[in-house]
Amino acid sequence: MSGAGLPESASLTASTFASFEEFTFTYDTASEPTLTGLTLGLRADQLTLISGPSGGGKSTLARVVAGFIPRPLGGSFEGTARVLGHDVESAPPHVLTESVGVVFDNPFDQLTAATSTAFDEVAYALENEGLPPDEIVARALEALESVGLAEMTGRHPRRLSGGQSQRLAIACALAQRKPILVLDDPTSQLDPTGREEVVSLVRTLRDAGTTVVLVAQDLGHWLEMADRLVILDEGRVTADGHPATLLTDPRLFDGTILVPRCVAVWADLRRRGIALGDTPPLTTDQLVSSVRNLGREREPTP
Amino acid sequence: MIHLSEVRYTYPKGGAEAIRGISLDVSMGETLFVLGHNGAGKSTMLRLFNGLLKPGSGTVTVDGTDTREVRPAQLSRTVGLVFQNPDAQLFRDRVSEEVSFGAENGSGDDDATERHERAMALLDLGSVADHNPYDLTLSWRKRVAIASVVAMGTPVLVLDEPTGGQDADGTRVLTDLISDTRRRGHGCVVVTHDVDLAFDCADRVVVLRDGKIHLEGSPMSVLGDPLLSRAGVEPSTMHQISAGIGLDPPARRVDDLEEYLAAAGG
Repeated sequence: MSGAGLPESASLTASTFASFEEFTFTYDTASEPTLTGLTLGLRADQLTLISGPSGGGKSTLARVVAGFIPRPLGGSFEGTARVLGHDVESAPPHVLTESVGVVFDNPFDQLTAATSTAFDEVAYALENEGLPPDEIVARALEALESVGLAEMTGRHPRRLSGGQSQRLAIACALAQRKPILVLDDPTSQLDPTGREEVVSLVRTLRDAGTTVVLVAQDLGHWLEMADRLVILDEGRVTADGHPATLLTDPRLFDGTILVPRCVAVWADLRRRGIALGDTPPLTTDQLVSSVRNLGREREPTP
Repeated sequence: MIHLSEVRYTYPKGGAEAIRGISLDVSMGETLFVLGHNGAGKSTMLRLFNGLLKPGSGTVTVDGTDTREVRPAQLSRTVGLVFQNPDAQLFRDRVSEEVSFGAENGSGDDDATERHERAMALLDLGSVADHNPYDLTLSWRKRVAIASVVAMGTPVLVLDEPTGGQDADGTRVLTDLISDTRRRGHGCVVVTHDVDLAFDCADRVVVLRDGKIHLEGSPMSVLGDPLLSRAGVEPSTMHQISAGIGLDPPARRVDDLEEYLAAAGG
């Protein structure tokens, strides 16, 4: 089912910003490739959710898109990977890092440690770009406001919560007007409050048409907003399509992905002959309303 | 096995009191899950369990011994604590050696070799036995750190966020480990944000809020309690479904949902 299942309208209207052709990549320290003959196109103006087993190549794919692989992290590769029109083999590293904002899983890895306020953290990168001071101030404040940190501009970055730190990292990318956002398991180390803050911000960005590549192990909070779900296993794409279409495939339930509880309950009831619609619920609320509707339908009318 | 009586604790650097009067027992053979918002006191409480922190007031006893009277190294043979961040405890060059270190420093009924083999098998580390832990991903390093403590064979195993960042395979391995610990009659304490994991695996659930016990009881009673949201914890998926369709008592398993729908169809 590789490469199949995208809604036709999406493929017609959205353009591909990253494409991999038979791309095989091996880290310098590894004996086996992490990506193996990967062929995949990522479309702009979409939220692409990438999941799969640990070690399957998710973060490596994110690092290629972000301009960290093959340089500066190193490693050997075959095939081609193009991001925003640049071949990753020949593109100067700064070309991609200037266009792609990255947020990693550990909120405290993001910060420069060179600044003493959230405002300065966002302004830092803009200063390096040599922008005029009034534009730096305007852009930094706008970015902080758009991630909900308008009240925190004077707060020391180290005194922000995990969720606030991740939002600050996203603000830095937004302030630099980076057209692509790569989020590598951005909520895995956050508590439920921090996670909800980041999930809700990503939903807002996605609704505004921001291109997002999101790597996540725990799919539950992202399925509803994802335009596309790509499963990477052993460096290959093993499933690719809209989440509601993909999650009907029993092969994904064999331990390839962490199946969200709402989908697992839907599938379990389906196996017992209780059909709650042909596509799985992408949230617990959706599951609740389909169970409720079926209960009502089944109630004998007086 | 672990007994907390009116325990209070404030970190030396000051700030708010982290633990504000907690009384709690952890029994052998029991799987206790601890939930709560970041900053509610979960990690502090775990450190009180094995004497890494001593209570400011009140008492903590482990197997009858006051934790103030012994060094943490002695308590670590009774209470095996695995930190959330595995890198805080990994220091050997090979996975197998790392787990051996735990086995050699442990104190189970069986010998070190047996404990080493069992821990390697339980955490399914055979395929990475000769790897350097730092060549592995964070989720695998976490499994190595857990195996090293499991190999000690302590009567109580304490896990801080064991399933965070784990894939489907890692999550299965860890839920199997929790079942195995219960089967062996050992105590197990798990701190997590994963409410459905607590629903599936816990004998008893404690929800902390602002350094106090906010709720305590069976997963069926606690994980659907209307007061849960005040602690920043959401109800389990089964409780959410049950509330949505007005099912009371709530569904424990999918069987109960099937029965409800069958009755509606009848």
